[in-house]
Amino acid sequence: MKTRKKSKFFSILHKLFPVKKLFLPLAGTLAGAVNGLFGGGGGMIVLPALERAGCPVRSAHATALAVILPATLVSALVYLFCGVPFGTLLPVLLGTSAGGLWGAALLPRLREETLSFLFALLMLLAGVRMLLP
Amino acid sequence: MSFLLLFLAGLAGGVFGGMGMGGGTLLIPLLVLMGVPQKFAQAMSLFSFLPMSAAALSVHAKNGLIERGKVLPLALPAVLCSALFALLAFFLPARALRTGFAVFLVFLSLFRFRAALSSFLAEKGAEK
Repeated sequence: MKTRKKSKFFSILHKLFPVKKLFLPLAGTLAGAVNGLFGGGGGMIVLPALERAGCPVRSAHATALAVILPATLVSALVYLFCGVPFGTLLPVLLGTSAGGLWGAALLPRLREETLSFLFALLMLLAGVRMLLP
Repeated sequence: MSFLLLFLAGLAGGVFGGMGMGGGTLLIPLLVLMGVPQKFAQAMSLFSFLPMSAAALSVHAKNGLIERGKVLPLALPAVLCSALFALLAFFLPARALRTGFAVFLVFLSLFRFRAALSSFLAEKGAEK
């Protein structure tokens, strides 16, 4: 019930393409496109798709990672070959690594609903702010 | 751009990434609003995703959490499309990418709000 509500979008996809076998490849196509074009966010599509396909939450997270990692590697290489300079990459990388460990350690101590809500709020604010000049 | 500011932006994005919430989706707007060009921010998001997720993935694999049968049908088109669209991103104007990503973020956040609200209500219902 919860996963069905989570992914209205995919239920629309389901109605358009009733062939079950097409569902995962379609979700993969969309996720790859978003990941390559915007430099992230593919996991946000793969994760609900896997939950919709009947994966339990924990293995959906793990499997989504196994899908997004090679896709990210390939698009990162394309960005590299297209000549994006990487002088500023090091501080960001150090930050995300430290932050990643911190976040993983914090996770068990926080309420998931609060966190999810906060994250959605931040995404909304970031999105609206980026629409403005 | 100062080392410290970039480090802090990475830290903020990384905290959410470590919680499994897609750090890149916050890292990109943070970097862009700090004045990093859109395409650099995207490239940084991609690269900074790699080490942490490779580490996490190896742990998940050891724990047998990966559903192998579902990886290939998802990953094959995802890898092909991510290469194609990364190329496309290079030919598109940065402004278009910024707007497109912003719209994607707004949609994602609305879906998230719905999901958060429905799980909150379900919990309330269970308490009664």
